[in-house]
Amino acid sequence: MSKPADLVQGTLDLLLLKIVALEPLHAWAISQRLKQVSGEVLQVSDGSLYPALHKLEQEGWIKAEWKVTENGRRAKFYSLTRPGRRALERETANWERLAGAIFQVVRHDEA
Amino acid sequence: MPDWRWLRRMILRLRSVFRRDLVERELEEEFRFHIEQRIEAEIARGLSPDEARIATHRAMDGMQQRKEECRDMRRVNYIDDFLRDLRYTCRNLRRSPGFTVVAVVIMALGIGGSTAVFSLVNELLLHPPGISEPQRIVVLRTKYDKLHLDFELASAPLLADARANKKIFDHVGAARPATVNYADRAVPVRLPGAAVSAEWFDVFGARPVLGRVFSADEDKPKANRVVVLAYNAWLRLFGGDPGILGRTIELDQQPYQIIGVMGRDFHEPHAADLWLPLALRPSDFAVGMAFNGYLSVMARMQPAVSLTQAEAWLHWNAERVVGAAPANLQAIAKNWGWGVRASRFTDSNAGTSKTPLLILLGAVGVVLLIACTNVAGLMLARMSARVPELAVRAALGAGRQRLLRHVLAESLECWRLSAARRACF
Repeated sequence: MSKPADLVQGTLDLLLLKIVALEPLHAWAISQRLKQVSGEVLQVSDGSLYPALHKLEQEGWIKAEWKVTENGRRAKFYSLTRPGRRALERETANWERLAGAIFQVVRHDEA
Repeated sequence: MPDWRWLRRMILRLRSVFRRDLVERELEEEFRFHIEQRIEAEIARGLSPDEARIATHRAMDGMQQRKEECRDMRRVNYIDDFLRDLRYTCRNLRRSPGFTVVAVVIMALGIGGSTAVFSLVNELLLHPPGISEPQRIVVLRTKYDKLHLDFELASAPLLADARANKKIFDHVGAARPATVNYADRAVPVRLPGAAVSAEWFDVFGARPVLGRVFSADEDKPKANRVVVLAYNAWLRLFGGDPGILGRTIELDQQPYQIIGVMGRDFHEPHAADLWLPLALRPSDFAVGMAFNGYLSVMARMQPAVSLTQAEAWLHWNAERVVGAAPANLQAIAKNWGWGVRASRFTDSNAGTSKTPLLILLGAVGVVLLIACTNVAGLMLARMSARVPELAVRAALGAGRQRLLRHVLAESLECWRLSAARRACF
């Protein structure tokens, strides 16, 4: 597998928030889900996943709960908190603005 | 909608500090779960178990470092590190007792001197004990500009005028020295006391610990056979008897009923042992008495009123009084430049010692500074001997900030020891 595209700085938080917004997941499932949803394009390395999740937890955007997985293992499930939902909305709007601006610049160059 | 984010964060932080072992176990378990999942996934992709394990660990890119990053996210590393630094410092200081003793003694002298003088300044100038919000209390004074006279006394009519002006003054009270003979015991004693108006205690915000203070009705001639004792006098003369209230004692051959005992710290004016009602007569308030300053008049200003505002009103009132006075008194008042002013209670309380006190405070401040410089020199000398140690720390990955915090913890420990030492002096 080729090295995945580096994530634009600061977007990892947004992606993680978005993924746990859908349903509570443990970290392993989050990384799998991210890969799957992005069509294998976006991939967060195992090394940077945990610090990022712990940061979001300490910020109060997500909360952690120990639950049992479908195959009977105890795992730490992360879910979005209410302030986390607001942060997600904010970050999404930010991202759309930024992506739109970059897109405009790029298109302008080609014209 | 309330934002409970800070609460959640606070709980997490507290948990990280006080349930450190639990949090660590959880971190461990979370990583172990990940490793197992990943190994399973790799095996499912066709790797052998050993290859799968190697691939998993490689993907993690340094498990211990990742865990340390997660710990950093808890934002309580400072506390952890700090405690570790302190422990290390204590060991280190014990190993070099010479340095420790010298540094501690120098600092203790500096800190001891400045705290001693500061407590004096605090007690006299800033927060006299037993008095609430002393900065709001002013002394009303009489002055004769032409005679260069200015004294802390005022007249009964001024007391009445000031008391009537609720916009400027919250409470106004007056006192006159009244030393009495107390002869209930074999040997009669002279007790320094004061005759005070009913509002006197309100001016200082002083409360009795037992009983009550004078009512307005008792502050009148012929109704004034009651007395409030100072705390110390109560202990000294009556052994702190809690059943003292209502007892009648003889002062200057007159019976007085004890109605209250004042709070421990209150002794205004000047070390009073007891207070009697001032009981001014209506004649004391006559127009001509306005120029007869014989009362110590203190006023508590309303919260938002400044000394300048109070003085402005006093000045205006003095001119009004002069204008209304009989011609002969008016002439005298104008000739001698009679007027009324106010000064802060805290300033007059310290009296002439205010300036020397402040100079002393400055001096001990300088002594403290010199002590600090000496200890800083010592520390510097010691530090240069420890360069290799610091180099090793830096090589092991301690950042500039981390090293600084370490050194700071040492200085802090030195200071703490000195402060403890000075408390023993």
